[in-house]
Amino acid sequence: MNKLIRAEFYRLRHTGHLFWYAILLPMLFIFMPYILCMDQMDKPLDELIESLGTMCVLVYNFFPALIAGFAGQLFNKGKLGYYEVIAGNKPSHIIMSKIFSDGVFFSVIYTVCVSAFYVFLGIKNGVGTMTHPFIRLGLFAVVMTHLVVSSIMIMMASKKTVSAVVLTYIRFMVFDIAFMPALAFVFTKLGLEGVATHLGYMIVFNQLEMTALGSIDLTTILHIILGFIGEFILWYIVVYRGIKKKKFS
Amino acid sequence: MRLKSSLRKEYGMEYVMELEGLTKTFGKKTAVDNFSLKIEKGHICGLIGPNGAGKTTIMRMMAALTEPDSGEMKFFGSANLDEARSRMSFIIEEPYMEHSMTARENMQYLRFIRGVADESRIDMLLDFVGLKDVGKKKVGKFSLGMRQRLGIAMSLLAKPEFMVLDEPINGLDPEGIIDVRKMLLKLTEEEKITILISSHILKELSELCTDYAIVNHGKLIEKLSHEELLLKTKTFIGLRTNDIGRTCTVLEGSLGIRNYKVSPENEIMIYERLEDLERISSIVTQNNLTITKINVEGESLEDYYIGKVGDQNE
Repeated sequence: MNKLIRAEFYRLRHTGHLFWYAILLPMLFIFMPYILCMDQMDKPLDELIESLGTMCVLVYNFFPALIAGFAGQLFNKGKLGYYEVIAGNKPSHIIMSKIFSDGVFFSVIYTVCVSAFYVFLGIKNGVGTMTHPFIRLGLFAVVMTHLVVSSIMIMMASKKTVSAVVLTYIRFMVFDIAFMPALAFVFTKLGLEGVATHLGYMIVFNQLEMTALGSIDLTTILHIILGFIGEFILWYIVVYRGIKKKKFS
Repeated sequence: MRLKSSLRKEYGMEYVMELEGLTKTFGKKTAVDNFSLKIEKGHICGLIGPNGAGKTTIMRMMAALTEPDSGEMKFFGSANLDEARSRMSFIIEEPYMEHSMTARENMQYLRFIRGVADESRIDMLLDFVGLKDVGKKKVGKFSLGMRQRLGIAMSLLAKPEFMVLDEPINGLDPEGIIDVRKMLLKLTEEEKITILISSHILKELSELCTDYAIVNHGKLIEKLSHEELLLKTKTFIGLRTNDIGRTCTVLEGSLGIRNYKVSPENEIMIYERLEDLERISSIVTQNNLTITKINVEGESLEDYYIGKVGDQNE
């Protein structure tokens, strides 16, 4: 697996993709929130994040998933998976090498980019009522890893770029904004409020909000970590089966 | 020089590839139908067939890119295909390359994927395929021929013992085709690599292959060695000299050739020792005879193939 991780980092460095990430990511994580909340840039951090509201779903959910997923899409589109299989690598090694290279790369970059921006504003304007900043930062890193790893594996599971983008949209927009809340609503109507609450906390969008604004307790931490593990296992099975059946474009 | 029968003696009957009853259907169409084929070590086997005959599907199944519906595959005598495939290399359809990287970077990248320790092999192989001096030119700006050469270099990186090449000379100019042919012959001679190659350029295959497998409608129509092909196509050596009578004496006395006849145009047609063109030429010349013509004549692989596949399609 180490050789595959090394190869992936080599490709990342030499294809010129880093240049595009260096342009795209600051635009996404710094300029977009700045433009969206330009008139509130002097407010304390908690108020500022609240004003960003549902735009979070695009800035911190869908777009980052799409960008990170690009690395996963190369797996099929560029026939990369095809050659990694031919080279005699095990499917589990192929999947985990992408997680430990592209996955780690993007989650670190996302976490650093976003936290640098908000740490700067926090120092400049104060944090307001926000507590446990370091725990929040750690949880934010987990949510970002969840997002990145899931999006990479979604793209690895899709044979075509269009279907990969559509699937990412469904997962990070439709599922988070409409499907899961609707499901939670149904559970509430059935008198299963507890299940509804847990389902709500499993949504990446909600988890992002929890790391920024909600109260930090053991339940929150468990929801964030278990949400990540659950989705990881789901997509791992899908991608593993695809590689085993040699489903490449 | 072609390897042919000397190889059989050297390697005996050690099979590098054994396909038995491979079948693959896509919907209602049977792409590969109970296909069986064996290739001996060190041989170059040409897989010949019209478009849609199932050649690429057979190669994709060998490469684990398509799952066969039924049948068995063995490589190097082993049914552990994952292990065996690490000793093989494939060029099926367009080889994987990062177009925004240079030839060397692509080789380096593949070196990591395949876990090849020896980095010096990259320069050696780029030199071998004539791409050592391309410098920092990105692969995206390469001509088709250059990409094919790089594909071959990449497939050789992990020192494969068996190469599977699907149309490796497609789109190459005549010079490129000759270069690739020389490269492949050199590989079989120097590195004893076994090759399964498909191409529509039959003349080229006849210059290269030791064996041929003719495929149509997913079935193996015939497998024959180059010698068998020569016999079946009634190929002969046509020889003209300044003294036909004395030439016949030399052929019989010095070379022991009996199976020949002299045409009314005073051309000697030799039906045996077709591999010994150079030796025949040398012995005749040593006997102070002047050769005005000597070449191998008869039906070509192309004629033979069209006869076979044509019969099938009628």
